[in-house]
Amino acid sequence: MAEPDEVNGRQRELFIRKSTRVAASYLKRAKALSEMPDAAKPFFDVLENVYIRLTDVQKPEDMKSIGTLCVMVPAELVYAAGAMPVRLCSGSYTAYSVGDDYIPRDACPLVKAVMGFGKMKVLPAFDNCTLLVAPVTCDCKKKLAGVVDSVKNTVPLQVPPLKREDADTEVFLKELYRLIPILEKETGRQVTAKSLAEGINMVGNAQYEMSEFLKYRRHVPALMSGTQILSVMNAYSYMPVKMWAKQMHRLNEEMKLRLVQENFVSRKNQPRILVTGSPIAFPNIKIPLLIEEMGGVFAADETCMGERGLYDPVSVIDPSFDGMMRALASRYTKPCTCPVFVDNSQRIYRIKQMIRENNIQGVIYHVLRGCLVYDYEYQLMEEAMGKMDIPIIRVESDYNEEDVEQLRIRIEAFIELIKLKEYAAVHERQ
Amino acid sequence: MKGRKIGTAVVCAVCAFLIVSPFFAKDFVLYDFHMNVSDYHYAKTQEEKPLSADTAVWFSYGDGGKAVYYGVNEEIQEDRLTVYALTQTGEVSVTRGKEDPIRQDSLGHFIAALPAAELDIDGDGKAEKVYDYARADFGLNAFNPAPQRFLTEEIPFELVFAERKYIMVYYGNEILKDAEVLVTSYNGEQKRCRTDEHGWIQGLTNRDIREGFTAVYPPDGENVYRMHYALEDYPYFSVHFWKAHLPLAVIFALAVIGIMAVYLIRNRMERNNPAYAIYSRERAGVYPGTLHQKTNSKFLFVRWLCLFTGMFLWTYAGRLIHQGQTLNEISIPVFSCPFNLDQVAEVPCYYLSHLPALFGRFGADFPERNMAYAAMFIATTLLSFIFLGRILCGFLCPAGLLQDLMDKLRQALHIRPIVVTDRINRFLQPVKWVWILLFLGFAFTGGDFCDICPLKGFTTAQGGYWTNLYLGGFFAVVILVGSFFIRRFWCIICPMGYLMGLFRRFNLFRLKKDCTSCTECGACYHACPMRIKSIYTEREKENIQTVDCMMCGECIHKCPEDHALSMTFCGKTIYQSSRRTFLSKFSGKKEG
Repeated sequence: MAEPDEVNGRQRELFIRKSTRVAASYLKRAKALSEMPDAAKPFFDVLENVYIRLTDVQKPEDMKSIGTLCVMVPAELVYAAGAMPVRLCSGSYTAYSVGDDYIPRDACPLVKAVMGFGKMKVLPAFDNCTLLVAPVTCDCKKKLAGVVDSVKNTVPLQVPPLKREDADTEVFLKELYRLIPILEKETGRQVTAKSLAEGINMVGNAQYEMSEFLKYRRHVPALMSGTQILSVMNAYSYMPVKMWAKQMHRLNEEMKLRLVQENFVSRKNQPRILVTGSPIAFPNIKIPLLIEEMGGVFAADETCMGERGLYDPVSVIDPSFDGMMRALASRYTKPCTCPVFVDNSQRIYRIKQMIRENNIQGVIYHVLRGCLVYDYEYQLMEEAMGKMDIPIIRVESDYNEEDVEQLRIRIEAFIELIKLKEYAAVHERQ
Repeated sequence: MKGRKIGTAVVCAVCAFLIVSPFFAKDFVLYDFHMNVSDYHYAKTQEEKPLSADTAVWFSYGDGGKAVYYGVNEEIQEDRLTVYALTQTGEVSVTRGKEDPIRQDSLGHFIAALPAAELDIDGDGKAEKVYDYARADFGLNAFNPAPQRFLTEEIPFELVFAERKYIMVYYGNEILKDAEVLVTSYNGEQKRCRTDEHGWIQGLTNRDIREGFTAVYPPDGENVYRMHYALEDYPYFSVHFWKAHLPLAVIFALAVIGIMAVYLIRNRMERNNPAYAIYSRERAGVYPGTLHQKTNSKFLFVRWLCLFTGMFLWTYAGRLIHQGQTLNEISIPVFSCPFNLDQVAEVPCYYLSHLPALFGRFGADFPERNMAYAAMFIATTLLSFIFLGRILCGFLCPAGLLQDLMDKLRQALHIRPIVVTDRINRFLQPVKWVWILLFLGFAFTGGDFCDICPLKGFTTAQGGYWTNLYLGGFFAVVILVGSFFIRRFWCIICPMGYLMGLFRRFNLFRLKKDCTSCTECGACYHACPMRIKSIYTEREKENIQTVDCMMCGECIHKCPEDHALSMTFCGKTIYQSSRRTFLSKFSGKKEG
């Protein structure tokens, strides 16, 4: 007997058809934006495999995958346990509409999409995860951790809402220690000091390659389309870190070549835009797509599915096992600019830093419908940007294509505004 | 809450103990050399006459400790010798011939005298009356800074060792000012030296004082006074030198016991802690060694080099380089013990912890001299405080090196540290204030900070100086155990370091932060041996140097953001953080 939650064959087929179609169309649009580097193809292949061909993530046979949500789950620890972390935060519109039936209306679409995939069981990348590590962050994720337990074995990971006191980091450290035996039981492998060091080295290598890549990203004019870069970052969720780092290395080499050959994908005076706010998870990449289709350069992102997840390296002070665990606990809370932390002024500083480093001319503040924590911080951000004379708009979106035209108009107007501002500035100087 | 209450109670108890116990410091004996000279023996030397001895009589100390030997020229009969000794009661005891002058109440200052001889020294064909003397100062009192004078009628000419550095000359019970004396150096060379207005012989090296010299003074054409002087001094690697290391060995032995105790207690505590249960069972103290860690930082290499140099300079330099001459007048604030006379420059800790002595103690003897010294001392100390500040702690302090080595030892033994959380750090602050109070104020109560100084036993013992350790010796054990688990444990509560940090605004070396580049990852805070939290929470000011910062550069080394932290010298950046340097250890390529 099929459970009431279980979706029958026809519905399932419809679901697959719809979701693969959406993913394919967005991938096509992203690829068509500008000449894609050859080295970026493997990343797109990964997204294609996961969302269109519906295959499992590419990983060694004996490696289990552990599902994670949010950026607070230390990938190093999961790799140390001999498993691969798969970020399950998804942007699937179809899964969202399924999840809508199980999650309250006002909850954010990302949570609904996760729940949708959990119920539909069509995504091998999702279904093959034997365990889901769900950090207790915002209200939606917190309740999700409780609800999704019915479809997937879930471990909630408590994240302290404050982080200035050492006692708060200690709380998270203890959570990580608690996570170790759970991971070990799941994978049947020991987390040893050696394997943890190996995990830190592996992720560190990926961070090294990414920091090299970010240098190319900062280049004006742009060397690669920002939407494609976001897809590359999104692919990190579904790739073993070693493979991702290897491909990233190749991409860096191609970027270097492009820089030498002056093979740019934008003009010098195209408005450079930073996107911050709620996560932009594949396939919900309509905002970056719109920016670039409307003639802007998606120059940087401060979102957790983009740069933030990999940006901060682990700084091990004492190379003992405890020292490494402390470094992990510190790295996954202290520099994290997620707005679930009570005092998150550092996010504004981080964005200021990014504006300076990436020559940003405008900020698009993305808020997913129902994402309260990000919406809270818009006021402060607007104030800070006002002081810096950087235009900022707040765009709210949902996981469907109904709001695309409205978004297109707003983003187009925003880009025109920046252009006008630049023009006026140039005129004034003359 | 309960933990906090217990912590507060413990801190209060520790502070109370620290305030009360120094008054009974001498009752806590860790190691006492029994510097009662009565167990010294006295005998005729078998050694040859030293090159420095122009006189017919001389003293030597052998090389085994606890012995004083006299020697006389072969043609002179020993029973013509008269030995004068200073005693604790202040009188001068007189013994004749081979008789042992070392009595129960001897202070360790002896002058041997021979009856006047008729000799033609200046070669004018007329014989002069030549008075030959030899002086010995030994035991702990040998280094007494106050001049120890006989001033008896029988010895009109006297050499007195004063302020642990100078030789002053008395003639006829008065200071011999502006006179010429002929000095035979330790190597037999003769030179003409003058005494200044305080009676100090100019141009005398430390080596002369230690290995022996003869001063000849002819007040008129008929009389010549000669005195041979040698301070009790032993070469490196002699029995005496090794014996000086005994208190150090005791401290280290106790520290090993302490470290083992802390280690076991911690393991036991964590076994009951559910969060650490799995950890303490299987992974305690495991250092994988496979973690990619960048260690080849040029800056940190220089720092280690400086630390070792500092240790050498403040422990051995005085004896090994430049004929034992040290920069006595210059005071550089590092925490090494001034009881080691070989330090390259003076250390202000003695006078800072004995403020009344700076102006008072020698004032009666040489008022002008003392004022000049005090002025020089204050000037150089202040200059160092103002322009260098705590970079000396990070780069030169021998006590800092000791603690850093303990930290390295811990890593080598694969024992993990005790992480100083801000709560523990808060509890350490009152202890620091008590130390500062004791450091500056204890002398005014008539006490001696040296008795409770935890660092008295280290550089002195290494340099071969016998030191008695009282309560301070036990504190030294605490410091060693502490610095084993907590890097630079002493520096967190160091009173002199705090005083140096007060002038940080004027330092030439500055630690600066580019707040716009900081991501608040806290790596700097965790790397900081002084646990300065504001370094990562500060978001406005460029100047983040706090009173605790000792410029060790660990924060910059561990910072993953480009130029977020930097060190400047006179406004010029000499070391700054770099993301590329930080991450290059993960690049998979070998550097170079």
